[in-house]
Amino acid sequence: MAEIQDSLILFVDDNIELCSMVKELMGKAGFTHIETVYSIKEAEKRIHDERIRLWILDVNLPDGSGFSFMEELRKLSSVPVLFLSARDEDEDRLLGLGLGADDYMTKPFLMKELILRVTAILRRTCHYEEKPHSSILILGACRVDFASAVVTRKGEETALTAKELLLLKKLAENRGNIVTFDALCDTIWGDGYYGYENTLMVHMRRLREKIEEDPSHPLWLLTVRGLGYKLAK
Amino acid sequence: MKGLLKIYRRYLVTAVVVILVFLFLNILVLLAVTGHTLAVENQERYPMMSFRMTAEEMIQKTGTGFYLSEKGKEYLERNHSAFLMLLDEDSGSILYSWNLPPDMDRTYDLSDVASFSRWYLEDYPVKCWDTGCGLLVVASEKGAEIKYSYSYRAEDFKSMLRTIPVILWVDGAAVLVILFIMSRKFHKSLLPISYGIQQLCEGTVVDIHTKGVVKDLGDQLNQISRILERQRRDIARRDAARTEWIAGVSHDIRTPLSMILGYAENLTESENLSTEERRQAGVIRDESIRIRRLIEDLNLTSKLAYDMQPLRLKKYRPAVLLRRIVTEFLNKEYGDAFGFSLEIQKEVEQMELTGDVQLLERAVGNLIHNSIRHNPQGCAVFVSCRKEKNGIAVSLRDTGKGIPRTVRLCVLNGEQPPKDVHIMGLRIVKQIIAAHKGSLSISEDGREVGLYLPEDFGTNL
Repeated sequence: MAEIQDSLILFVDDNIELCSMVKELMGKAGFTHIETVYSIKEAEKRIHDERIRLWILDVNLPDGSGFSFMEELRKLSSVPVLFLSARDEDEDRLLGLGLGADDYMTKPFLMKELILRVTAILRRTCHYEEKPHSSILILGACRVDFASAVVTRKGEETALTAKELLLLKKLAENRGNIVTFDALCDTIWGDGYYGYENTLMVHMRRLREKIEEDPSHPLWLLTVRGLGYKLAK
Repeated sequence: MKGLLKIYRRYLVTAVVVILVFLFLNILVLLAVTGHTLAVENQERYPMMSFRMTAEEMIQKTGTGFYLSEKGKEYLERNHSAFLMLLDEDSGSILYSWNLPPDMDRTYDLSDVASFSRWYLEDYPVKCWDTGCGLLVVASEKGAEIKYSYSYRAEDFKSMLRTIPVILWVDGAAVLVILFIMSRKFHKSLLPISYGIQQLCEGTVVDIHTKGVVKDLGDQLNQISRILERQRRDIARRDAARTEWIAGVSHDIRTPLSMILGYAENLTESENLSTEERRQAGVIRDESIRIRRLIEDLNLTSKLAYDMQPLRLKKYRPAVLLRRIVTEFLNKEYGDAFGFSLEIQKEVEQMELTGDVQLLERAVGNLIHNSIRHNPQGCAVFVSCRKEKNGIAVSLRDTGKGIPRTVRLCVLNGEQPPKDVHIMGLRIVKQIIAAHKGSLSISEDGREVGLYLPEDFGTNL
């Protein structure tokens, strides 16, 4: 099965130096199939090319706008598009994303960020075979299986409630970072709730009882006073 | 409109007061003059009075006849009298005369006396007085005095006295009604002017049509409005041009900067370079990122300054926003040298304000970022938020070296900073807070920045 890096990416930008830089540096990161064109006219010639897995479009091109080209493209296919533009107005960003683009980046940009975003889009859209995403969380001697919502410690199994599972997943996604009370409340009760901090605390205490060796001196599920919780790395 | 009604009322009241004052003054003057007249020293100006007072003593009787006394002489001289005679009370013959025209040297009968005592004697205005020795007749020059004789029926006179107050009342009422009508008319004619001024205040174009006395006023108002409108358009055009120019320049910098950033980023990881060279490449990358931020700031500040940044207003909870911002800084791991803490008053927790969350996040973020950037040796940042009257107060305090005095004064007074002082970040904070109708304060030592955000901002949108 083909790797993400083997996808054909068409880079449309009128700045030749920028094109060669992106081609060179993405090549270094393993993206070897990058082709560049410098105008809408040339891009239109490739509009029916079904091998292209991702379009990276500039907005201001000498012979037209990336936005209108995008509209043309959308009539034909739902191929992923990433805008890379010097226009940083919120309006432009909203317009680009509103047209159905998968992402919008503004120049100047970090190559690393571009590569990460391109990878994310391709992973999402191309259904490459990947190693199954790890659903196991290891916290010292404790093992959490998200798929079955079971905590195993010293051979003892404890089931997590739906809310505890949601909270732990959220914290694990941001492991090492603080997640605010508000974000955690959003995760389990949805947007627009407040005053649930106390209930949240109850859930956290129960969660600690299940995953911590000593719930009153937690090693993994840490409270950050006044802000939220953090799952230690 | 309210203002006009006030003017109208005041006009009426003033008119009435003026009338009353004048009436009062007139009465006062009349009384004063009358009083004065009664005083002795003015007697010569009132012929009958002085005549009566001297008449008895004017002619003196001696054994042989009559002669003019000193007082009499003085009187005749002072009053430029034409002649004087003393008539015998029984026969009407002349007992004594002074300066009498020859043709009048005769005997006067009763009908003569009856006539001249009231009217004139041969066109001479005369005054008579019954002295002990005879009837004294003194004549002034022809035409020097005017004599009237009145007689009324007592009933008529009384009814006249009764009518006077009625007439005065009717007059007063009539004056009031006329005043009322006239001021009402004036009020009506001023209405379009008042409406025009109101429109002018609201910034809309005024085009009113007025007639009569206020036509000139109306025309001038229209003209002012046209001038203002032209100026408004000019300023808007100029502001737009400036903002577009800055946007254009920053746009043009972006592509070349992309390349600097891209290659510098690549070089920092190049294995062919020495550690020192990679460090240098890292500096180029970091500075490029700083330029990127500066461009964004420049764009935003010019837009905020010329009101070209539309606020994307929505309801938000300041407690949630502050927690998110502080958490983001904590998660970025600036190292142990930096500490961030947040204190939120309980009352603020459930508060909901309206604002542009992205901009507010930028403002608070800028301030925390400043604390970090200007204190490379590390510092602690304390963020707190409490309820204030009709809003919230956010305080950002750090243990670093503080905002320099010059910067503080420039930001607070909106002055242009000296060349080597960079205040764009703080200025943006101030602009963002101002756009939310709030205010910014900086403590004396520069270590604490206070933001006030009103609660009712945007609720009437």
